[in-house]
Amino acid sequence: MQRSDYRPKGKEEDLTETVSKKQGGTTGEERRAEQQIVGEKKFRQSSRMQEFKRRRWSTRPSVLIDQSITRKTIMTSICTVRVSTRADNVKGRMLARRYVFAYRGSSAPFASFGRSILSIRRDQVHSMEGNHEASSLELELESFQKQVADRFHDLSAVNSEDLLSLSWIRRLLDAFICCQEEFRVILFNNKALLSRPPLDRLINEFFERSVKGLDVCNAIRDGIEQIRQWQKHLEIVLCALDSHQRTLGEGQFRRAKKALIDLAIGMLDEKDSGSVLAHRNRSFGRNNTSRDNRPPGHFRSLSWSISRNWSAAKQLLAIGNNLAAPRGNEITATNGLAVPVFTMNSVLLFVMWALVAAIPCQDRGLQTHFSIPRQFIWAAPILSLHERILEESKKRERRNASGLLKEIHQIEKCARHMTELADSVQFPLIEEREAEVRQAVKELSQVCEATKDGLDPLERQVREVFHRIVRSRTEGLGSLTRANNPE
Amino acid sequence: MAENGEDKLIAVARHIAKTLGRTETMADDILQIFSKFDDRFSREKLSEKIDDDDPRSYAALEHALKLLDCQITQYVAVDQPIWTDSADSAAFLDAIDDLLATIRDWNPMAGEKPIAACLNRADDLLQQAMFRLEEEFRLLIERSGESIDLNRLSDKSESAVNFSSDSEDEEDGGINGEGEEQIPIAHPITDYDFVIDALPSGTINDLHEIAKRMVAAGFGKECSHVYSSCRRDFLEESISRLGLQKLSIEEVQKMPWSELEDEIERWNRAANVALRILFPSERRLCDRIFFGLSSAADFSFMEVCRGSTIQLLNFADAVAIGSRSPERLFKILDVFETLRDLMPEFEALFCDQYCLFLRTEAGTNWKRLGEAIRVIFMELENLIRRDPAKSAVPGGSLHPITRYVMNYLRAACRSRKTLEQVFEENILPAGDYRNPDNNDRSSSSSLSVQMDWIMELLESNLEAKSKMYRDPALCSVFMMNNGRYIVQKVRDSELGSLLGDDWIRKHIAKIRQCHSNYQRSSWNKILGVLKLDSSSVAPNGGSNSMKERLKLFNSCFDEICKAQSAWVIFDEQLRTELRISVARNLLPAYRNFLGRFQIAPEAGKHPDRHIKYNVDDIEARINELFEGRGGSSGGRK
Repeated sequence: MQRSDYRPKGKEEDLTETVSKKQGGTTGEERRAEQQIVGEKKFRQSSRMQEFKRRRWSTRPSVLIDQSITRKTIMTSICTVRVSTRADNVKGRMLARRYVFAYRGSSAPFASFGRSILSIRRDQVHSMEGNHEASSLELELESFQKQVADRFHDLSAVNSEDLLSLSWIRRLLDAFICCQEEFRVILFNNKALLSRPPLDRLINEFFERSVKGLDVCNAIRDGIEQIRQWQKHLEIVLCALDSHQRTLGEGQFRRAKKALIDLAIGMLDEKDSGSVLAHRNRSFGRNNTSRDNRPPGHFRSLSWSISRNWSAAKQLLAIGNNLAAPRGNEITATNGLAVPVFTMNSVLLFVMWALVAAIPCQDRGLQTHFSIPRQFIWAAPILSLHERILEESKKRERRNASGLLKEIHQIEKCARHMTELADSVQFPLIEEREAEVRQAVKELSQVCEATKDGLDPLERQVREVFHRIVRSRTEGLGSLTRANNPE
Repeated sequence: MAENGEDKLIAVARHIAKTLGRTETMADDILQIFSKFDDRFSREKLSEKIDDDDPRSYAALEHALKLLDCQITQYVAVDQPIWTDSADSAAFLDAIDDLLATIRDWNPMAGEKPIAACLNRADDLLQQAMFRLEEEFRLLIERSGESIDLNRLSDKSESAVNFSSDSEDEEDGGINGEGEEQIPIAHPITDYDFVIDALPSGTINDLHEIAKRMVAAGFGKECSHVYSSCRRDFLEESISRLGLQKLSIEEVQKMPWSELEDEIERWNRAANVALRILFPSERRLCDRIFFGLSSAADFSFMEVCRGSTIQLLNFADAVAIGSRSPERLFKILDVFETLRDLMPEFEALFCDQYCLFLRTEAGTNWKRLGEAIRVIFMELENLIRRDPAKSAVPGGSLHPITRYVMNYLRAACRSRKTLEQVFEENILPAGDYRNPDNNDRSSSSSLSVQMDWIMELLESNLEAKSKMYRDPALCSVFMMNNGRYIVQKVRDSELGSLLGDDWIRKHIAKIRQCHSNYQRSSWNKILGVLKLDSSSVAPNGGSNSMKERLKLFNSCFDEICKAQSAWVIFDEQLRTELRISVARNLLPAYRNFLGRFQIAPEAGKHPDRHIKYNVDDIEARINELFEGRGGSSGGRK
């Protein structure tokens, strides 16, 4: 009955069937509830207590899926997964075989994979119970792998123009949120298994990593604000060289130039913001001498909301630390669940790394190493994206960038062009020059517009990622501790 | 030559006209007279060459510009701040007003080339004036910003603000201030009802005048930037003076709990000061400086407060995300309550379009704290459930878990209103922070259900633990002890009203049940020994059996006393009650038995030889029960 919360109208049949198949009719939660009730028979069941229990159990699923978006995402994911696996059952089997094969054919660390997770599961199926239940977990895990692979294939299909653009970053975050939701469903469906070692340790490690991701989200949010500050300088440039103005005079150019200088300093400031900030913070309570060191008229760059010795590079290293593909025995011992945990860990690391690559933040550094065995079907797209982004960071014109975001590059380019123009113009302006300037202004305003329109949704999305991580962690830890209760 | 002379003559005529004619019309009249006087002075020749279209207007513009140029350039070039002299600043502003008016008036005619050229010059001039204004604006804020710090320093003793002297020392340590330069920290612990005037009123007026011109000239963005970057610094410094650090979530997680507790206390104070004093003061300042320019005011205010607000909220978030071990409840409740109580401030301060997201964020944060509190209760449940029945408490005394849970719940219930809100939140549509009292729905509130649930868990855990005792009587003693403690703790706290009278009654009945269980399992056998019915005084073997019985009684009684004097009833009253009830049951039976025994023939002449205890002895021994002595001193003889 709790399931109905995220069952779509119209697709009920499909889901009922798949769900009951998966759960064998009873969810862990229900089972627990029953046990509890049995165990507490000696207690009188006051009506209040019954009401409490009803509330308790009925609120659980709504904790899981408490937003319409979530519901929708899960819906679509579940539907596509279930419906497609049901429809292409044969195809699913083939895929499974390929998956197994991939592991079998692999070298050193995976040599022990002779028995892949799937074959192990099948053995259990034969030896234990009717094969419906077991194969549904198997399919669930497979389809998760496929989902992740599909999403990152989509993302990696981007051309070099759009790679690291605002819209691409937003797609990346979308992909993260979807993976995260699917992962959450897997955890939810397999609660009973979570508390068994070594899965409990793996899950705890995953939550540790995701908390580290929260700090990255906060830093990225600051970075977005930073770009907004640059945006303001650009707006002044546009305001000064507004195309509605009759003719462009020296005054307008002077105003624009000043804003461009502020922008340049602002963008430059970013790279050594750590030291500047440290200096500023130290001067609190004194006469703020550092202020006087700044060029007159320069807008001080925004301060970060996180501590000043925080480092994005270190944070990424910490997320990636000890992250290794699960060994065969771990996969066996976890009924295969070690695989999605590793998958989600890798997705988390990659997404956080890409965010840090794209958006300005304190002490960026991209040296994170990705050790993902190629055997995972999602490894190829992620590794190729990693490589392409790394390439991008090595390009000469981008090497010193405060963020690899395409729009930042465009801002830099436009600003540089504009500065050159502004430096070279002579007055009165000849028509040709004026046309040139107006063209540059037009380009600048397009860049500005695009950035402006993209930043707000991006910030909201980063927040959403933050909230999702928190929620999934709360739930996950909750079910870990709850599952630990012998009852 | 002749040509040359004529030119000169015309130039002289023009000069005369210009010098004599103080206004354009007068000059024009003079030129008119000249042209009539000699046709060498024709209008065409006299008028300047360029302004062939509208000589009059053009000249006026030209003239006005020259004048303004003169004035403005003079001010722009000055090394000293203009706003040190009120006459200068007024004149500068007047010049700018004139320039703005001129540009406004002439702008419609910008299609004409010469006028356009003039307007360009005017724009250029405006540009320079604006740059200067921006600089003056910044200087004014910074200068008076610094002076206010000094003022506050000297104000310290006068305590215009309600400083609390006791917490001052503790704060000073954290700030690491340096002698004279140290700025005192305001502790508005009792009274938040004041506003800091960060800038003197005169300065605010000056700034307002400048802001008005800058916005009018289309330089609103620059003005807002200067304003917000200066004030942001001020605000961040103020917050850092409150001892608040910028911490990442990870740092908060890794922090030892005791340190985090201090940090939370500082946060509570800082959040209150920020939301009740600093931000409203900024809002007021902003509204005064950008008076009549509401959009600029709203935007600047957001820019000023954004970073500090996010810093405050991030910390609350980090606390909510952190560990949920039950002992953290109380501090997290503090954060929750602080945020809840500040919600009206958030709503009032951040109500415009630019700030709305901060308000939403605060709401989300607050809810997350509520969730963290609910999770803490879940953890408490787990803790109780999982508490293993490893070894029995000696003597069936109070189990530490009972003590822990009951004192924990009692302490938690001191924040009953808040907790009710937290648990209502679970079910009701969220967001009504205004009236926690509204949720007071007597006994059936979610909180009371929650408490009821925890009590059930505790009792079932205790019951499992009671099974550790092999002696059913000791098991009852254990349950009685713990039950008694629970009821006592419930009765004299908010828990009582949460759980309700029925609950208490039920539990008292339960203790009574334990009591009779104890009585039964411990004393029934021995009472059976003393029981004399008609059959037992049967002639054959009857007397023998009386002697045997007395013997049996003595040994049983010794055994029980030995065991039970090591048992514990922690509550004195309960102990007395228990002894009395034992005595009340046992003594009459024993007295009766002795009476019969003494007259029984088989007792012989010296029945006393067989009697180990007289009634008083028995009573004395009973009064030694439940003293918790180590079993050795049990047998007295």
